[in-house]
Amino acid sequence: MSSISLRTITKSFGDAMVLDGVDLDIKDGKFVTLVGPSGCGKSTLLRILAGLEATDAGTVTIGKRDVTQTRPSLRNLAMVFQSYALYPHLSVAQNMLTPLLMRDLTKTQRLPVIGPLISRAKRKALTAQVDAVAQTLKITELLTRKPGQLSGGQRQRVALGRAMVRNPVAFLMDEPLSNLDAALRVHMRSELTELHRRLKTTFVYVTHDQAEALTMSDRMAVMMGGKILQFGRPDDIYRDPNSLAVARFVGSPAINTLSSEIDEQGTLTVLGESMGRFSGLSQQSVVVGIRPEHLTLSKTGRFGGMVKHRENLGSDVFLHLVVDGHADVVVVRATPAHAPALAAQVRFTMSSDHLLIFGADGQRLRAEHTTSKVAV
Amino acid sequence: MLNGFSTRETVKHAVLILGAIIVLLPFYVMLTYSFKSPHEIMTNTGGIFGAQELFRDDYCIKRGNPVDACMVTPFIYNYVTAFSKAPLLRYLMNGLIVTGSIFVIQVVVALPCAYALAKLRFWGREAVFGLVLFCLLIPVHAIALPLYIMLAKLGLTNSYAALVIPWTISVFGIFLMRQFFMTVPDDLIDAARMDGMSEYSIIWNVMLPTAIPALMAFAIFSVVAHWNDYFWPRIVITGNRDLFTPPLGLREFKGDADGDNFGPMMASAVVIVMPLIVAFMLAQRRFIEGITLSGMK
Repeated sequence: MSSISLRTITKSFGDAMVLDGVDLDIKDGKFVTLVGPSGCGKSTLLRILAGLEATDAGTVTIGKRDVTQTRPSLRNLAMVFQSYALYPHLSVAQNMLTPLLMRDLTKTQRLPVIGPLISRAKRKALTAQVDAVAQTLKITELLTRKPGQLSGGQRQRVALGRAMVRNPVAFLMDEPLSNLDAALRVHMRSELTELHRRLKTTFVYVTHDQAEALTMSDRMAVMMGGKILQFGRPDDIYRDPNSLAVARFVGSPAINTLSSEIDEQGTLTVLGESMGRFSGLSQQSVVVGIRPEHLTLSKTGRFGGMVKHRENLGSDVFLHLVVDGHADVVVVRATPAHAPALAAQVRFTMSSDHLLIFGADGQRLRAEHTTSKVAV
Repeated sequence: MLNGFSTRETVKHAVLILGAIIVLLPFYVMLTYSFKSPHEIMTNTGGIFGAQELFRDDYCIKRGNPVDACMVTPFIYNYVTAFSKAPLLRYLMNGLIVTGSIFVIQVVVALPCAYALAKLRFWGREAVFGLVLFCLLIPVHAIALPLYIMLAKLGLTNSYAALVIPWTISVFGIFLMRQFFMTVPDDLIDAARMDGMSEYSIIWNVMLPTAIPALMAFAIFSVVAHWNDYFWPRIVITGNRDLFTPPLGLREFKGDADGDNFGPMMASAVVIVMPLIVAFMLAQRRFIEGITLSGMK
């Protein structure tokens, strides 16, 4: 078993605190995504796990072994970089062979000229490993080429191949898809998840793209300001965020957030309409979050607005509505067949079951909806 | 407009052509003189290659040879004399040894320095780099005397060491390679570390191959400067002619009792600059090939 655990990882560059006591447990064989806006410390966390960066405090454990002070190569992790980082002067085959040569051959066996002569059998075995991996990734015909002669997608595969040959305990990926064009990126997402299913090895994947995190991972950790705000299944994080920051970051288009009031009876008023009573909440100002798909166009809806902007994605149309009598803009998902035109007056309903209530400090207020008298 | 006449372009080219003529004229003179007989050189006749009429080699007659045996073709005479009067091959060899070892040692020193300055974080890095920049400002001639004295005290004058040692640490090389290494993505180095390479192995197996274009540029500066250097060899090589570098060899033909001997002198000058020109042409091709750093995005 080679589960990974990071304990109170702290790191600062000069005065800037990049990681502030981060704890993370990654179970063996899981696909875990670290996601967050740029500068949130996700890459630094990955580099600390890889051993490329030293921690100021805290420990890194792989399996049962404390590797906090261990050199990167001895942790038996493989990393795929955003820029692929292939050796430009070596062919694809040599690129993939290098980590094996460094790991499995002695210093003398790696010497130029003499080395290949005295370690012929060993090298043959290693080359066979490279060939096998090349076959799984379908890059056999690229083996003799140099990285400069490959397209972005091909380089991506080679970088993956170089990681795979070592049979690492975990794959670390630092935004590996962000240099690809949109279509290829979507394709590579499914390929990576498939690869993960087949290899059954731990993947730790860093991205700033919440869509990648939602689509690919078993678990995702949303990071902001050097902390992990929430760690869990993508589904749970999307449906049940712990804080306003997480709710805002995950989901595209972003969640609608509306300043609202709770009165002394616990009645929530959103956009001037009562949304029913919530037990356990005192009188206060709150922020209500509701996803665009939980707002529905309806001729008899309680809320009215004017279409200010339409985003047509083909399968869905997102309408940006200026709510009557308020400055707020809400985004509503509609089907293209029923989407009203620009500047049209529409009415919509809000399902109170999907309301997420956040306190003034941005933390989620979990409250039970007691009266579901939703006047439609 | 593509094929049309443009005054701007014409003027530009005229200026460039003029500049090229000014630079190339001495080379032209050197080359033609190396083909001509003394008479043609004095009277400035014979065109580019000279008439190549046989002429009498007075020195040969002085040694008691019959006149018939002393008639020589100017171009053969010039080049044969160049090689026979001075041990030109030996000088070329010295030049090769000296510039070659200077360049190799400069690279061995500069690459690790440049790598550390560009890619490793350590206390005082900026200060060290400041010192490198500062050293760029020191003219060679200002420190020539102290250098000479030190070498003399160590008993190293009149040796290859004296020709090589003062130039082994090239701050220019460190600076140039550091600037180049700054452009190499950190990911590449991290990938090498993940693969298990030591820092030295990264320098020689990853940085060196990616730095070939920059190294070629540095090689041109270094080799040209030290191949052509007259000043320093003149100072530290005082007696032993076996250690003469090619520029010192030219002194063999300076006017003496035999009178002027421009033909052979120019012939040896041609022989001396030829390796540089050939090396240039070869390096130029590599330059263009290597300048695009493929595979690193």
